[in-house]
Amino acid sequence: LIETARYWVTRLEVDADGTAHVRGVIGPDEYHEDVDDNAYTNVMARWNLRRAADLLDPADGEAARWRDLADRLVDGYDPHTGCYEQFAGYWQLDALDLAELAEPPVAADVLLGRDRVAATRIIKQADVLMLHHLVPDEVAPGSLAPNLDVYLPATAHGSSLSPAIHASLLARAGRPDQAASWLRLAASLDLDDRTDTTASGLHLATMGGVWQALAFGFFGARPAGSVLRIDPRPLPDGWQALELRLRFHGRRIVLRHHHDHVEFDTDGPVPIDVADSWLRKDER
Amino acid sequence: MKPTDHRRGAVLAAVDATPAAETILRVAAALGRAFDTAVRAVHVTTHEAELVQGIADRAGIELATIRGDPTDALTQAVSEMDVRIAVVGCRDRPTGRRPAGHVALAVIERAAKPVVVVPPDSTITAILKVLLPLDGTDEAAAAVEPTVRMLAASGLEIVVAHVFDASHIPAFIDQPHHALPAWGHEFLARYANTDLDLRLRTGIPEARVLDLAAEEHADLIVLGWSQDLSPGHARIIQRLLCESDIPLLLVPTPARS
Repeated sequence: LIETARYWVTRLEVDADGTAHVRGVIGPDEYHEDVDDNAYTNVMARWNLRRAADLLDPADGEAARWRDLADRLVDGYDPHTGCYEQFAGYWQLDALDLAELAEPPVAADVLLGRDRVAATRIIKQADVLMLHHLVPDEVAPGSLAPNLDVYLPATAHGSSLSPAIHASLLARAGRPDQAASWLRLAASLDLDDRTDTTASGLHLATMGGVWQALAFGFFGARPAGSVLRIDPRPLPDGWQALELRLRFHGRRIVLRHHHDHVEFDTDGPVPIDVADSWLRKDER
Repeated sequence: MKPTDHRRGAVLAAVDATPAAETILRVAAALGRAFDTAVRAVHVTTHEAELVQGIADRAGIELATIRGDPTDALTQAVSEMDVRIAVVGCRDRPTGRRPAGHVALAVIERAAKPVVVVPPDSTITAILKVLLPLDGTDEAAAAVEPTVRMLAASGLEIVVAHVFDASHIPAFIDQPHHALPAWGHEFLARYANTDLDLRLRTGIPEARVLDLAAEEHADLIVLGWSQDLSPGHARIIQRLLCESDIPLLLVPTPARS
C-alpha cells in the first residue's frame, strides 16, 4: 500500500483549480483506452492513498500529503443523478443502443471494430460498477441502483468476467431474478462452452466470480476486520434455499439462506454481524 | 512429367458454343493439373456441335457429344462413376451480371458431386490457392471435408475464412490478442484442420468473402451447400454466383451426395 500510494503521487496531476486528476489510463472497460479521470481508477487510487496514510504516523508529512491529494481527486460523481461518469467525456459519446445491435453477451469490439466501439458508450464490462463490487464503502450511498440502470444496458459483457459481477451487483440491488439470469450464464460458461474455447482451458476467474456473486451478492457477506458481516438479499422465486460454505479467519462456516431467515453453522466461535433487517426486534 | 492418374476420376467440363466455353475449358484443365487427373468435356448436341468441337480441340480436351434434354443429359453425365468434379459456366456472356443460365443452375442443384462454377471473365490459369469459407456449422464442415482432404493431398494452399456478423459473433473475447487466436484455433480444430491458415473478418459474409478472395489472390472458392437456390436460401452462394470473378467449387451436403 505504501509503495503504490507513492506511485499514485507521481501519477496525479493537480490543476490550477486545486483538483487532482489521473490522465491517460484504461479502466476495466477495455473498449475505451487512454481516457482521463476514469472513476474506477481515481476512486481506487483515493482508497489506496487513504489506506496507506492510515498505516503511517498521523504526524508524518507524507501521510498528510496523501490525504490531501485523496481529497482533491475527482471521481465524476453527480449527486443530482446519483451516477458516476465513467471517465471525463463519457457522457458526450454516441449513445448507441446496444440492444439494437446484438443481444449481450457479445464481443462488441469484434462486431463494430475497436474505433467504432470506442466512440460509443458501449462498455465491455463493469467499470464504475466495479467500484460498487470491490469497494462499496468508497462509493456514494444509494448509488448502486442508478448506476446499474445507466451502465447495465450499455454493457456488452464481452469479458467472461462480466456476467458474474453483474449477478452479484443485481443481487445486492434486490433484483434477484435478473441476478439469477446472469449467474446462470456465468456458471454455465464452460459447462456449455459459451466461449467456444473451453477446449483451450477453463475460465477460473469466472468461477471465482460465481462464488463472489453468491457470497457478496446474495449473502451480502463482507469481512470487517475480525467480523463477518452478512446482509442477505432476496433470492429468486425459483430457489428453495441457498447454502454456501466458506472459511473466515480459519473457521469453517456454512451459511444457509431460506428466503425468510438465515442459518449459520461454524466449527468454533466466530463473530458474525447480521444486518438489522434480518433480526427480530429482541435480537437487535 | 508424371502420367495422369485416371483412377482419381475425371474433371468433366460442360460446354456449349458460347464464348465462355474457352474459359470453362481453361479452368477445367487447371483443375486437372491441380488434382493430377484426366479432363474431359461434354456437349449436349446442338446445331453448333462443330463449333464446340473446335473449341475443345484447341484446348486439347477430349469432347463427348450427348443427346437429350440438356439438364437431364448433363446431370446424368456428371453422375457417371468416373467423374469426380464437374465444371459448368456461370453466366452466358462475359459481361453478364446475372447468375448461371437455367441449365447450369439446374445441374448444380441436382448434381450429387462437387461442381465448379466458372465465371466467364475468370482469368484463372492455375489452381494454386483455395479460399474455404466456413460458417461454423457441422453441416458445412462435413460437406467440404472430403474435398478439403483432396485439395490438401494435391498440395494446394488452403486458407479458411470465417465472417462474423451480428447473429454469429463470439459472446466473449477477453483479450483480443490472446482470445481471438485461441478462438480461431478451436474453430479450425472443430471445422477444418489446425494446420490450415484462418482469416477472420466481420461484416456481410458474402461481401467479406469476395474481399478476402481478392486479398488472398485465391484461384478457387470452396463452399458446402444444400443445393437449394430458392428465395431465402443460399444467400452467400447466390451473390457469389453473380459477382465472383473466381471459380466456385460447390460441394453438396452429405445428405444430398
